[in-house]
Amino acid sequence: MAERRKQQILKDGQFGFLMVLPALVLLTLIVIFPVVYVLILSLIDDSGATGVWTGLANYRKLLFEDSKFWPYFLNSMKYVVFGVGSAFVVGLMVALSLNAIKKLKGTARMFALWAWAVPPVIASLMWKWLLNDTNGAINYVLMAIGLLKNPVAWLSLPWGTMLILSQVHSWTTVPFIMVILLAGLQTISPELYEVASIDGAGSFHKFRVITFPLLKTSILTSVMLSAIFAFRTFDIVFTLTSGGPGESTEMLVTYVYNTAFVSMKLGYAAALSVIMVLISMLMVVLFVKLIPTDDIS
Amino acid sequence: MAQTVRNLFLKLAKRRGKMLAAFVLAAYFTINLFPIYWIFVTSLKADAEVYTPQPTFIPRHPTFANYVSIYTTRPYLRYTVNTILISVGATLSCIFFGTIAAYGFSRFRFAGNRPLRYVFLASRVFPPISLIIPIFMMIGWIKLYDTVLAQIIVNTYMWLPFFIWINIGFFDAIPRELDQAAQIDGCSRMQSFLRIGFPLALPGVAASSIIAFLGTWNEFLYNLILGPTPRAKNLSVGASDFIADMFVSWNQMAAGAIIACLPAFLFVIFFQRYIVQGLTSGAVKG
Repeated sequence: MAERRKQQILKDGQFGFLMVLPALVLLTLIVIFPVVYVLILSLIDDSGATGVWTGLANYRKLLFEDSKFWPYFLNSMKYVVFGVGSAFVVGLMVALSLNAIKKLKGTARMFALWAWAVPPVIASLMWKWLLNDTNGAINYVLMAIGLLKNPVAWLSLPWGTMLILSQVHSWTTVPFIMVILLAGLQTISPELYEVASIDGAGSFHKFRVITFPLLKTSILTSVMLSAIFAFRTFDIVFTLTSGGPGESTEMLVTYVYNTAFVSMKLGYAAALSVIMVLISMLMVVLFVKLIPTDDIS
Repeated sequence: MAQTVRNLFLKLAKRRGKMLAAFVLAAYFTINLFPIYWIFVTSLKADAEVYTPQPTFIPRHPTFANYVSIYTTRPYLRYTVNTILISVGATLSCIFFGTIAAYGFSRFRFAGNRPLRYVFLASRVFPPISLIIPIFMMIGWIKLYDTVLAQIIVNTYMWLPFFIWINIGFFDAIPRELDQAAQIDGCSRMQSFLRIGFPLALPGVAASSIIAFLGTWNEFLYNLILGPTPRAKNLSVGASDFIADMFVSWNQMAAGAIIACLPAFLFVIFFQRYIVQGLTSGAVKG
Protein backbone atom coordinates (compact mmCIF):
# COMPACT_ATOMS: atom_id res chain seq x y z
CA MET A 1 0.00 0.00 0.00
CA ALA A 2 2.69 2.43 1.03
CA GLU A 3 4.60 1.58 -2.11
CA ARG A 4 1.63 2.30 -4.34
CA ARG A 5 1.08 5.60 -2.63
CA LYS A 6 4.56 6.74 -3.66
CA GLN A 7 3.76 6.25 -7.32
CA GLN A 8 0.71 8.51 -7.12
CA ILE A 9 1.47 12.03 -8.24
CA LEU A 10 -1.50 13.61 -6.47
CA LYS A 11 -2.17 13.32 -2.78
CA ASP A 12 -5.53 11.80 -1.80
CA GLY A 13 -6.96 15.18 -0.88
CA GLN A 14 -5.93 16.71 -4.19
CA PHE A 15 -7.39 13.78 -6.06
CA GLY A 16 -10.67 14.14 -4.16
CA PHE A 17 -10.83 17.83 -4.98
CA LEU A 18 -10.15 17.01 -8.62
CA MET A 19 -13.16 14.70 -8.59
CA VAL A 20 -15.38 17.46 -7.22
CA LEU A 21 -13.97 20.09 -9.57
CA PRO A 22 -16.01 19.39 -12.75
CA ALA A 23 -19.29 19.67 -10.87
CA LEU A 24 -18.01 22.76 -9.09
CA VAL A 25 -17.05 24.49 -12.35
CA LEU A 26 -20.47 23.67 -13.78
CA LEU A 27 -22.18 25.00 -10.69
CA THR A 28 -20.10 28.18 -10.73
CA LEU A 29 -21.03 28.88 -14.33
CA ILE A 30 -24.71 28.20 -13.99
CA VAL A 31 -25.52 29.26 -10.42
CA ILE A 32 -22.87 31.42 -8.83
CA PHE A 33 -22.32 33.63 -11.88
CA PRO A 34 -26.10 34.16 -12.40
CA VAL A 35 -26.52 35.01 -8.72
CA VAL A 36 -23.85 37.69 -8.96
CA TYR A 37 -25.35 38.91 -12.21
CA VAL A 38 -28.86 39.15 -10.83
CA LEU A 39 -27.56 41.06 -7.80
CA ILE A 40 -25.83 43.61 -10.05
CA LEU A 41 -28.84 43.85 -12.34
CA SER A 42 -31.08 44.59 -9.37
CA LEU A 43 -29.06 47.75 -8.71
CA ILE A 44 -29.63 49.13 -12.19
CA ASP A 45 -32.40 51.44 -13.32
CA ASP A 46 -34.21 49.94 -16.30
CA SER A 47 -36.57 52.75 -17.24
CA GLY A 48 -34.11 54.27 -19.72
CA ALA A 49 -32.68 52.60 -22.79
CA THR A 50 -29.30 52.02 -21.18
CA GLY A 51 -28.95 50.92 -17.59
CA VAL A 52 -28.01 53.51 -15.00
CA TRP A 53 -26.67 52.58 -11.58
CA THR A 54 -29.30 53.42 -8.99
CA GLY A 55 -28.17 51.60 -5.89
CA LEU A 56 -31.05 50.31 -3.83
CA ALA A 57 -33.72 52.36 -5.59
CA ASN A 58 -35.41 49.29 -7.08
CA TYR A 59 -35.71 47.71 -3.64
CA ARG A 60 -37.00 50.91 -2.09
CA LYS A 61 -39.61 51.23 -4.80
CA LEU A 62 -40.66 47.59 -4.42
CA LEU A 63 -41.00 47.56 -0.66
CA PHE A 64 -42.43 51.03 -0.05
CA GLU A 65 -44.05 52.38 -3.20
CA ASP A 66 -45.23 49.41 -5.23
CA SER A 67 -48.92 48.82 -4.52
CA LYS A 68 -48.69 45.29 -5.93
CA PHE A 69 -45.76 43.86 -4.01
CA TRP A 70 -47.36 43.28 -0.59
CA PRO A 71 -50.68 41.89 -1.86
CA TYR A 72 -48.79 39.51 -4.15
CA PHE A 73 -46.46 38.55 -1.31
CA LEU A 74 -49.50 37.82 0.84
CA ASN A 75 -50.97 35.67 -1.96
CA SER A 76 -47.72 33.70 -2.17
CA MET A 77 -47.92 33.07 1.56
CA LYS A 78 -51.60 32.06 1.31
CA TYR A 79 -50.71 29.62 -1.45
CA VAL A 80 -47.94 28.06 0.66
CA VAL A 81 -49.95 27.92 3.89
CA PHE A 82 -53.23 26.66 2.37
CA GLY A 83 -51.55 24.29 -0.07
CA VAL A 84 -48.96 22.74 2.24
CA GLY A 85 -51.23 22.95 5.30
CA SER A 86 -53.97 20.85 3.77
CA ALA A 87 -51.43 18.53 2.09
CA PHE A 88 -49.92 17.91 5.53
CA VAL A 89 -53.25 17.17 7.23
CA VAL A 90 -54.34 14.81 4.44
CA GLY A 91 -50.86 13.27 4.12
CA LEU A 92 -50.73 12.55 7.85
CA MET A 93 -54.22 11.02 7.87
CA VAL A 94 -53.42 8.81 4.87
CA ALA A 95 -50.05 7.73 6.31
CA LEU A 96 -51.63 6.84 9.67
CA SER A 97 -54.42 4.93 7.93
CA LEU A 98 -52.01 2.98 5.74
CA ASN A 99 -49.92 2.19 8.77
CA ALA A 100 -53.03 1.04 10.65
CA ILE A 101 -54.47 -1.34 8.06
CA LYS A 102 -51.02 -2.83 7.28
CA LYS A 103 -52.43 -4.41 4.13
CA LEU A 104 -51.95 -3.18 0.55
CA LYS A 105 -49.38 -0.65 1.70
CA GLY A 106 -47.28 -1.03 -1.44
CA THR A 107 -50.22 -0.86 -3.84
CA ALA A 108 -51.76 2.12 -2.09
CA ARG A 109 -48.43 3.93 -2.06
CA MET A 110 -48.02 3.24 -5.76
CA PHE A 111 -51.39 4.75 -6.67
CA ALA A 112 -50.76 7.70 -4.37
CA LEU A 113 -47.39 8.39 -5.98
CA TRP A 114 -48.98 8.81 -9.38
CA ALA A 115 -50.25 12.22 -8.37
CA TRP A 116 -46.74 13.17 -7.28
CA ALA A 117 -45.08 11.98 -10.51
CA VAL A 118 -47.60 13.55 -12.90
CA PRO A 119 -46.10 16.76 -14.37
CA PRO A 120 -47.48 19.64 -12.25
CA VAL A 121 -48.66 21.43 -15.35
CA ILE A 122 -50.66 18.35 -16.35
CA ALA A 123 -52.17 18.17 -12.85
CA SER A 124 -53.19 21.77 -13.30
CA LEU A 125 -54.74 21.07 -16.73
CA MET A 126 -56.61 18.04 -15.33
CA TRP A 127 -58.20 20.18 -12.65
CA LYS A 128 -58.89 23.00 -15.08
CA TRP A 129 -60.93 20.52 -17.09
CA LEU A 130 -62.66 19.05 -14.02
CA LEU A 131 -63.54 22.56 -12.80
CA ASN A 132 -64.69 23.76 -16.24
CA ASP A 133 -67.93 25.71 -15.88
CA THR A 134 -69.88 24.38 -18.86
CA ASN A 135 -68.65 20.82 -19.36
CA GLY A 136 -66.74 20.05 -16.16
CA ALA A 137 -67.29 16.86 -14.18
CA ILE A 138 -67.36 18.59 -10.79
CA ASN A 139 -70.30 20.83 -11.64
CA TYR A 140 -72.09 17.85 -13.15
CA VAL A 141 -71.64 15.68 -10.07
CA LEU A 142 -72.57 18.45 -7.63
CA MET A 143 -75.71 19.25 -9.64
CA ALA A 144 -76.65 15.59 -10.01
CA ILE A 145 -76.58 15.03 -6.24
CA GLY A 146 -78.47 18.27 -5.72
CA LEU A 147 -75.77 20.35 -4.01
CA LEU A 148 -75.77 22.93 -6.78
CA LYS A 149 -78.63 24.39 -8.79
CA ASN A 150 -76.58 26.13 -11.44
CA PRO A 151 -73.06 25.50 -12.71
CA VAL A 152 -70.37 27.50 -10.92
CA ALA A 153 -67.40 29.10 -12.68
CA TRP A 154 -64.94 27.82 -10.07
CA LEU A 155 -61.93 29.62 -11.45
CA SER A 156 -63.64 33.00 -11.67
CA LEU A 157 -64.71 33.33 -8.05
CA PRO A 158 -62.96 36.43 -6.74
CA TRP A 159 -63.08 35.17 -3.14
CA GLY A 160 -62.43 31.46 -3.54
CA THR A 161 -60.09 30.95 -6.45
CA MET A 162 -56.94 31.17 -4.32
CA LEU A 163 -58.34 28.43 -2.12
CA ILE A 164 -59.08 26.19 -5.11
CA LEU A 165 -55.68 26.92 -6.67
CA SER A 166 -53.86 26.00 -3.46
CA GLN A 167 -55.85 22.77 -3.20
CA VAL A 168 -54.71 21.75 -6.67
CA HIS A 169 -51.17 22.28 -5.44
CA SER A 170 -52.03 20.22 -2.38
CA TRP A 171 -53.21 17.37 -4.63
CA THR A 172 -49.71 17.15 -6.12
CA THR A 173 -47.97 17.37 -2.72
CA VAL A 174 -49.90 14.92 -0.50
CA PRO A 175 -48.05 11.81 -1.84
CA PHE A 176 -44.63 13.27 -1.03
CA ILE A 177 -45.58 14.14 2.55
CA MET A 178 -47.35 10.80 2.94
CA VAL A 179 -44.30 8.80 1.78
CA ILE A 180 -41.96 10.63 4.17
CA LEU A 181 -44.35 10.27 7.11
CA LEU A 182 -45.03 6.61 6.35
CA ALA A 183 -41.28 5.94 6.31
CA GLY A 184 -41.05 7.70 9.67
CA LEU A 185 -43.98 5.72 11.10
CA GLN A 186 -42.39 2.44 10.08
CA THR A 187 -39.31 3.17 12.20
CA ILE A 188 -41.44 3.42 15.38
CA SER A 189 -41.26 0.15 17.29
CA PRO A 190 -44.71 -1.49 17.71
CA GLU A 191 -43.67 -2.51 21.23
CA LEU A 192 -43.99 1.09 22.34
CA TYR A 193 -47.68 1.00 21.45
CA GLU A 194 -48.15 -2.35 23.17
CA VAL A 195 -46.63 -1.03 26.37
CA ALA A 196 -48.86 2.03 26.16
CA SER A 197 -51.94 -0.17 25.60
CA ILE A 198 -51.13 -2.20 28.69
CA ASP A 199 -50.91 1.06 30.58
CA GLY A 200 -54.39 1.81 29.30
CA ALA A 201 -53.58 4.65 26.90
CA GLY A 202 -56.24 5.57 24.32
CA SER A 203 -55.37 5.98 20.67
CA PHE A 204 -55.31 9.77 20.82
CA HIS A 205 -53.09 9.67 23.86
CA LYS A 206 -50.76 7.20 22.11
CA PHE A 207 -50.55 9.51 19.12
CA ARG A 208 -49.69 12.47 21.33
CA VAL A 209 -47.02 10.77 23.46
CA ILE A 210 -45.48 8.27 21.03
CA THR A 211 -46.25 8.97 17.38
CA PHE A 212 -46.01 12.74 17.28
CA PRO A 213 -42.70 13.20 19.13
CA LEU A 214 -41.00 10.40 17.19
CA LEU A 215 -42.37 11.69 13.91
CA LYS A 216 -41.37 15.30 14.54
CA THR A 217 -38.28 15.29 12.31
CA SER A 218 -40.14 13.64 9.42
CA ILE A 219 -42.97 16.14 9.80
CA LEU A 220 -40.67 19.16 9.85
CA THR A 221 -38.49 18.07 6.94
CA SER A 222 -41.41 17.11 4.72
CA VAL A 223 -43.27 20.32 5.50
CA MET A 224 -40.13 22.41 5.02
CA LEU A 225 -39.32 20.96 1.62
CA SER A 226 -42.94 21.18 0.51
CA ALA A 227 -43.19 24.80 1.64
CA ILE A 228 -40.00 25.78 -0.19
CA PHE A 229 -41.25 24.09 -3.35
CA ALA A 230 -44.74 25.57 -3.04
CA PHE A 231 -43.27 29.07 -2.77
CA ARG A 232 -41.47 28.67 -6.11
CA THR A 233 -44.24 26.84 -7.98
CA PHE A 234 -44.98 28.61 -11.22
CA ASP A 235 -46.54 26.10 -13.62
CA ILE A 236 -49.75 25.46 -11.64
CA VAL A 237 -50.75 29.10 -11.16
CA PHE A 238 -49.62 30.04 -14.67
CA THR A 239 -51.87 27.48 -16.35
CA LEU A 240 -54.78 27.27 -13.90
CA THR A 241 -55.58 30.95 -13.28
CA SER A 242 -52.62 32.98 -14.64
CA GLY A 243 -53.17 35.38 -11.77
CA GLY A 244 -56.87 35.84 -12.27
CA PRO A 245 -59.67 36.54 -11.76
CA GLY A 246 -58.57 40.16 -11.54
CA GLU A 247 -55.34 39.97 -9.60
CA SER A 248 -56.66 37.67 -6.90
CA THR A 249 -54.12 34.91 -7.52
CA GLU A 250 -51.14 36.98 -8.64
CA MET A 251 -48.07 35.96 -6.62
CA LEU A 252 -44.37 36.78 -6.48
CA VAL A 253 -43.55 34.09 -9.08
CA THR A 254 -46.03 35.46 -11.61
CA TYR A 255 -44.91 39.00 -10.77
CA VAL A 256 -41.27 38.16 -11.61
CA TYR A 257 -42.38 36.50 -14.83
CA ASN A 258 -44.59 39.41 -15.90
CA THR A 259 -42.09 42.11 -14.92
CA ALA A 260 -39.24 40.40 -16.76
CA PHE A 261 -40.91 38.92 -19.82
CA VAL A 262 -44.05 41.00 -20.35
CA SER A 263 -43.11 44.52 -19.24
CA MET A 264 -39.37 43.86 -19.83
CA LYS A 265 -38.24 45.70 -16.70
CA LEU A 266 -35.20 43.54 -16.02
CA GLY A 267 -33.66 45.55 -13.18
CA TYR A 268 -36.92 45.65 -11.27
CA ALA A 269 -37.54 41.94 -11.89
CA ALA A 270 -34.01 41.20 -10.67
CA ALA A 271 -34.65 43.06 -7.41
CA LEU A 272 -37.86 41.05 -7.02
CA SER A 273 -35.88 37.83 -7.69
CA VAL A 274 -33.38 38.70 -4.97
CA ILE A 275 -36.22 39.27 -2.52
CA MET A 276 -37.64 35.85 -3.43
CA VAL A 277 -34.25 34.24 -2.75
CA LEU A 278 -34.07 35.97 0.63
CA ILE A 279 -37.56 34.75 1.55
CA SER A 280 -36.61 31.18 0.55
CA MET A 281 -33.48 31.37 2.69
CA LEU A 282 -35.47 32.73 5.60
CA MET A 283 -37.83 29.77 5.32
CA VAL A 284 -34.90 27.34 5.41
CA VAL A 285 -33.32 29.05 8.43
CA LEU A 286 -36.64 29.05 10.25
CA PHE A 287 -37.22 25.34 9.71
CA VAL A 288 -33.62 24.33 10.42
CA LYS A 289 -33.93 26.13 13.77
CA LEU A 290 -37.02 24.03 14.53
CA ILE A 291 -35.45 20.68 13.63
CA PRO A 292 -33.42 19.08 16.44
CA THR A 293 -29.81 19.48 15.26
CA ASP A 294 -28.63 15.93 15.92
CA ASP A 295 -31.06 14.67 13.28
CA ILE A 296 -29.50 16.55 10.38
CA SER A 297 -26.41 14.87 9.13
CA MET B 1 -66.17 -10.50 33.75
CA ALA B 2 -64.74 -7.02 33.81
CA GLN B 3 -61.77 -8.36 31.90
CA THR B 4 -63.90 -9.79 29.05
CA VAL B 5 -65.92 -6.58 28.78
CA ARG B 6 -62.70 -4.64 28.58
CA ASN B 7 -61.31 -6.93 25.88
CA LEU B 8 -64.52 -6.68 23.90
CA PHE B 9 -64.35 -2.92 24.16
CA LEU B 10 -60.73 -2.86 22.98
CA LYS B 11 -61.56 -5.13 20.06
CA LEU B 12 -64.40 -2.84 19.05
CA ALA B 13 -62.18 0.21 19.34
CA LYS B 14 -59.59 -1.48 17.19
CA ARG B 15 -62.13 -2.42 14.55
CA ARG B 16 -63.53 1.12 14.61
CA GLY B 17 -60.00 2.41 14.04
CA LYS B 18 -59.58 0.14 11.05
CA MET B 19 -62.94 1.19 9.61
CA LEU B 20 -61.99 4.82 10.00
CA ALA B 21 -58.68 4.11 8.26
CA ALA B 22 -60.45 2.35 5.41
CA PHE B 23 -62.85 5.28 5.06
CA VAL B 24 -59.99 7.83 4.97
CA LEU B 25 -58.18 5.78 2.32
CA ALA B 26 -61.30 5.33 0.18
CA ALA B 27 -62.02 9.07 0.27
CA TYR B 28 -58.42 10.00 -0.45
CA PHE B 29 -57.95 7.59 -3.33
CA THR B 30 -61.15 8.79 -4.96
CA ILE B 31 -59.82 12.35 -5.00
CA ASN B 32 -56.33 11.13 -5.86
CA LEU B 33 -57.24 8.91 -8.80
CA PHE B 34 -60.41 10.40 -10.25
CA PRO B 35 -58.69 13.32 -12.05
CA ILE B 36 -56.30 10.87 -13.71
CA TYR B 37 -59.15 8.55 -14.68
CA TRP B 38 -61.14 11.50 -15.96
CA ILE B 39 -58.39 12.88 -18.18
CA PHE B 40 -57.85 9.35 -19.52
CA VAL B 41 -61.50 8.80 -20.50
CA THR B 42 -61.68 12.33 -21.94
CA SER B 43 -58.74 11.48 -24.19
CA LEU B 44 -60.78 8.58 -25.61
CA LYS B 45 -63.90 10.61 -26.41
CA ALA B 46 -65.01 12.26 -29.62
CA ASP B 47 -66.07 15.94 -29.56
CA ALA B 48 -69.80 15.19 -29.27
CA GLU B 49 -69.27 13.28 -26.07
CA VAL B 50 -66.97 15.93 -24.58
CA TYR B 51 -68.94 19.10 -25.20
CA THR B 52 -72.12 18.09 -23.46
CA PRO B 53 -73.48 19.19 -20.11
CA GLN B 54 -74.00 15.50 -19.23
CA PRO B 55 -70.59 13.88 -19.34
CA THR B 56 -70.32 10.08 -19.53
CA PHE B 57 -68.15 8.28 -16.99
CA ILE B 58 -67.40 5.43 -19.38
CA PRO B 59 -66.87 6.55 -22.97
CA ARG B 60 -69.65 5.25 -25.23
CA HIS B 61 -67.53 5.18 -28.38
CA PRO B 62 -63.89 5.02 -27.28
CA THR B 63 -61.49 6.18 -29.97
CA PHE B 64 -57.78 6.88 -30.36
CA ALA B 65 -58.54 9.68 -32.82
CA ASN B 66 -57.28 12.37 -30.42
CA TYR B 67 -53.90 10.70 -30.12
CA VAL B 68 -53.60 10.35 -33.87
CA SER B 69 -54.72 13.92 -34.31
CA ILE B 70 -52.14 15.53 -31.99
CA TYR B 71 -49.33 13.60 -33.65
CA THR B 72 -50.46 14.55 -37.15
CA THR B 73 -51.72 18.14 -36.75
CA ARG B 74 -49.33 19.36 -34.03
CA PRO B 75 -45.55 18.91 -33.69
CA TYR B 76 -46.10 16.30 -30.98
CA LEU B 77 -43.53 13.91 -32.39
CA ARG B 78 -40.95 16.66 -32.05
CA TYR B 79 -42.06 17.46 -28.47
CA THR B 80 -41.83 13.78 -27.55
CA VAL B 81 -38.35 13.36 -29.02
CA ASN B 82 -37.20 16.63 -27.38
CA THR B 83 -38.52 15.56 -23.98
CA ILE B 84 -36.79 12.18 -24.20
CA LEU B 85 -33.49 13.76 -25.32
CA ILE B 86 -33.59 16.43 -22.61
CA SER B 87 -34.48 13.97 -19.83
CA VAL B 88 -31.94 11.34 -20.86
CA GLY B 89 -29.24 13.99 -21.45
CA ALA B 90 -29.76 15.76 -18.14
CA THR B 91 -29.93 12.48 -16.21
CA LEU B 92 -26.73 11.15 -17.81
CA SER B 93 -24.87 14.37 -17.10
CA CYS B 94 -26.11 14.29 -13.48
CA ILE B 95 -24.83 10.70 -13.21
CA PHE B 96 -21.47 11.63 -14.75
CA PHE B 97 -20.73 14.81 -12.81
CA GLY B 98 -22.71 13.79 -9.75
CA THR B 99 -21.34 10.35 -8.91
CA ILE B 100 -17.73 11.44 -9.43
CA ALA B 101 -18.20 14.49 -7.21
CA ALA B 102 -20.16 12.56 -4.58
CA TYR B 103 -17.42 9.91 -4.43
CA GLY B 104 -14.78 12.63 -4.08
CA PHE B 105 -16.72 14.22 -1.22
CA SER B 106 -17.36 10.89 0.48
CA ARG B 107 -13.89 9.36 0.25
CA PHE B 108 -11.26 12.09 0.43
CA ARG B 109 -10.38 14.75 2.96
CA PHE B 110 -9.50 18.10 1.48
CA ALA B 111 -9.76 21.70 2.56
CA GLY B 112 -13.30 22.87 1.91
CA ASN B 113 -14.91 19.44 1.75
CA ARG B 114 -17.63 20.35 4.27
CA PRO B 115 -18.26 23.97 3.16
CA LEU B 116 -18.40 22.97 -0.51
CA ARG B 117 -21.10 20.39 0.25
CA TYR B 118 -23.19 23.19 1.66
CA VAL B 119 -22.48 25.40 -1.35
CA PHE B 120 -24.01 22.68 -3.50
CA LEU B 121 -26.93 22.26 -1.14
CA ALA B 122 -27.52 26.01 -0.91
CA SER B 123 -27.81 26.32 -4.68
CA ARG B 124 -30.99 24.27 -4.36
CA VAL B 125 -32.54 26.98 -2.23
CA PHE B 126 -32.73 29.47 -5.11
CA PRO B 127 -36.18 29.46 -6.69
CA PRO B 128 -35.60 28.68 -10.41
CA ILE B 129 -37.51 31.80 -11.40
CA SER B 130 -35.08 34.03 -9.49
CA LEU B 131 -32.21 33.01 -11.78
CA ILE B 132 -34.15 32.98 -15.00
CA ILE B 133 -33.10 36.46 -16.19
CA PRO B 134 -29.30 35.90 -16.06
CA ILE B 135 -29.65 32.35 -17.39
CA PHE B 136 -31.83 33.60 -20.23
CA MET B 137 -29.10 36.13 -21.12
CA MET B 138 -26.23 33.65 -20.78
CA ILE B 139 -27.97 31.10 -22.98
CA GLY B 140 -28.34 33.92 -25.53
CA TRP B 141 -24.63 34.83 -25.34
CA ILE B 142 -23.51 31.27 -26.04
CA LYS B 143 -26.07 31.06 -28.86
CA LEU B 144 -28.01 28.16 -27.37
CA TYR B 145 -31.39 29.88 -27.22
CA ASP B 146 -34.17 27.51 -28.32
CA THR B 147 -31.99 24.38 -28.33
CA VAL B 148 -32.26 20.99 -26.65
CA LEU B 149 -28.69 21.42 -25.36
CA ALA B 150 -29.66 24.53 -23.38
CA GLN B 151 -32.49 22.53 -21.80
CA ILE B 152 -30.07 19.76 -20.82
CA ILE B 153 -27.75 22.33 -19.22
CA VAL B 154 -30.41 24.09 -17.14
CA ASN B 155 -31.98 20.83 -16.00
CA THR B 156 -28.57 19.52 -14.96
CA TYR B 157 -28.19 22.66 -12.83
CA MET B 158 -31.56 21.99 -11.22
CA TRP B 159 -30.89 18.36 -10.29
CA LEU B 160 -27.12 18.07 -9.81
CA PRO B 161 -27.01 19.49 -6.25
CA PHE B 162 -29.75 17.09 -5.11
CA PHE B 163 -28.01 14.26 -6.92
CA ILE B 164 -24.61 14.89 -5.32
CA TRP B 165 -26.10 15.44 -1.89
CA ILE B 166 -27.98 12.16 -1.66
CA ASN B 167 -25.25 10.12 -3.37
CA ILE B 168 -22.69 11.23 -0.78
CA GLY B 169 -24.91 9.38 1.67
CA PHE B 170 -25.05 6.28 -0.51
CA PHE B 171 -21.25 6.22 -0.92
CA ASP B 172 -20.77 6.78 2.81
CA ALA B 173 -22.80 3.62 3.41
CA ILE B 174 -20.29 1.49 1.45
CA PRO B 175 -17.42 0.28 3.69
CA ARG B 176 -14.14 2.04 2.88
CA GLU B 177 -12.29 -1.24 3.39
CA LEU B 178 -13.60 -2.40 0.03
CA ASP B 179 -11.91 0.46 -1.88
CA GLN B 180 -8.74 0.05 0.14
CA ALA B 181 -8.62 -3.67 -0.61
CA ALA B 182 -9.00 -2.88 -4.31
CA GLN B 183 -6.15 -0.38 -4.15
CA ILE B 184 -3.91 -2.90 -2.42
CA ASP B 185 -4.71 -5.26 -5.27
CA GLY B 186 -3.33 -2.68 -7.66
CA CYS B 187 -6.35 -0.62 -8.66
CA SER B 188 -5.84 3.12 -9.07
CA ARG B 189 -8.20 5.42 -7.17
CA MET B 190 -10.23 6.02 -10.32
CA GLN B 191 -10.43 2.29 -11.01
CA SER B 192 -11.58 1.55 -7.48
CA PHE B 193 -14.34 4.14 -7.98
CA LEU B 194 -15.38 2.61 -11.31
CA ARG B 195 -15.10 -1.04 -10.30
CA ILE B 196 -16.08 -0.98 -6.63
CA GLY B 197 -17.71 2.28 -5.53
CA PHE B 198 -19.98 2.95 -8.49
CA PRO B 199 -21.40 -0.58 -8.89
CA LEU B 200 -22.07 -0.90 -5.17
CA ALA B 201 -23.79 2.49 -5.05
CA LEU B 202 -25.90 1.63 -8.09
CA PRO B 203 -29.23 1.25 -6.23
CA GLY B 204 -28.75 4.75 -4.81
CA VAL B 205 -27.65 6.11 -8.16
CA ALA B 206 -30.78 4.56 -9.70
CA ALA B 207 -33.01 6.13 -7.07
CA SER B 208 -31.59 9.62 -7.60
CA SER B 209 -31.51 9.19 -11.40
CA ILE B 210 -35.19 8.30 -11.53
CA ILE B 211 -36.11 11.38 -9.54
CA ALA B 212 -33.88 13.61 -11.68
CA PHE B 213 -35.32 12.05 -14.84
CA LEU B 214 -38.92 12.62 -13.78
CA GLY B 215 -38.13 16.13 -12.57
CA THR B 216 -36.60 17.00 -15.93
CA TRP B 217 -39.46 15.37 -17.83
CA ASN B 218 -41.95 17.50 -15.86
CA GLU B 219 -40.01 20.77 -16.10
CA PHE B 220 -42.07 23.72 -17.31
CA LEU B 221 -40.71 27.20 -16.56
CA TYR B 222 -37.29 27.04 -18.23
CA ASN B 223 -38.74 25.24 -21.21
CA LEU B 224 -41.40 27.91 -21.60
CA ILE B 225 -38.83 30.72 -21.57
CA LEU B 226 -35.83 29.14 -23.27
CA GLY B 227 -37.60 26.94 -25.83
CA PRO B 228 -40.42 28.92 -27.43
CA THR B 229 -40.61 26.98 -30.69
CA PRO B 230 -40.99 23.25 -31.42
CA ARG B 231 -37.20 23.03 -31.80
CA ALA B 232 -36.77 22.61 -28.04
CA LYS B 233 -40.30 22.52 -26.62
CA ASN B 234 -41.18 19.66 -24.27
CA LEU B 235 -44.45 17.81 -23.59
CA SER B 236 -45.36 19.86 -20.50
CA VAL B 237 -45.31 23.16 -22.36
CA GLY B 238 -46.78 21.44 -25.44
CA ALA B 239 -49.80 20.32 -23.42
CA SER B 240 -50.30 23.78 -21.95
CA ASP B 241 -50.45 25.25 -25.47
CA PHE B 242 -53.96 23.83 -25.85
CA ILE B 243 -55.46 26.23 -23.31
CA ALA B 244 -53.97 29.21 -25.14
CA ASP B 245 -56.14 28.36 -28.16
CA MET B 246 -59.31 30.34 -28.89
CA PHE B 247 -61.34 27.16 -28.77
CA VAL B 248 -59.87 24.74 -26.24
CA SER B 249 -59.89 21.20 -27.55
CA TRP B 250 -60.14 19.41 -24.21
CA ASN B 251 -60.09 15.87 -25.57
CA GLN B 252 -56.92 16.55 -27.58
CA MET B 253 -55.39 18.26 -24.56
CA ALA B 254 -56.28 15.15 -22.55
CA ALA B 255 -54.48 12.93 -25.07
CA GLY B 256 -51.41 15.17 -24.83
CA ALA B 257 -51.63 15.04 -21.03
CA ILE B 258 -51.71 11.23 -20.99
CA ILE B 259 -48.64 11.11 -23.27
CA ALA B 260 -46.83 13.51 -20.92
CA CYS B 261 -47.79 11.33 -17.92
CA LEU B 262 -46.71 7.97 -19.34
CA PRO B 263 -43.19 7.82 -17.86
CA ALA B 264 -44.57 8.97 -14.52
CA PHE B 265 -47.08 6.10 -14.45
CA LEU B 266 -44.60 3.48 -15.66
CA PHE B 267 -41.76 4.58 -13.37
CA VAL B 268 -44.03 4.55 -10.35
CA ILE B 269 -45.29 1.05 -11.19
CA PHE B 270 -41.89 -0.48 -11.86
CA PHE B 271 -39.50 1.54 -9.69
CA GLN B 272 -41.63 2.46 -6.70
CA ARG B 273 -39.00 1.17 -4.27
CA TYR B 274 -36.29 3.38 -5.76
CA ILE B 275 -38.52 6.45 -5.84
CA VAL B 276 -39.42 6.02 -2.18
CA GLN B 277 -35.75 5.51 -1.32
CA GLY B 278 -34.75 8.63 -3.26
CA LEU B 279 -37.49 10.74 -1.70
CA THR B 280 -36.85 9.64 1.87
CA SER B 281 -33.07 9.93 1.75
CA GLY B 282 -33.40 13.30 0.01
CA ALA B 283 -35.78 14.50 2.69
CA VAL B 284 -33.77 13.27 5.64
CA LYS B 285 -30.59 14.78 4.36
CA GLY B 286 -31.68 17.99 2.99
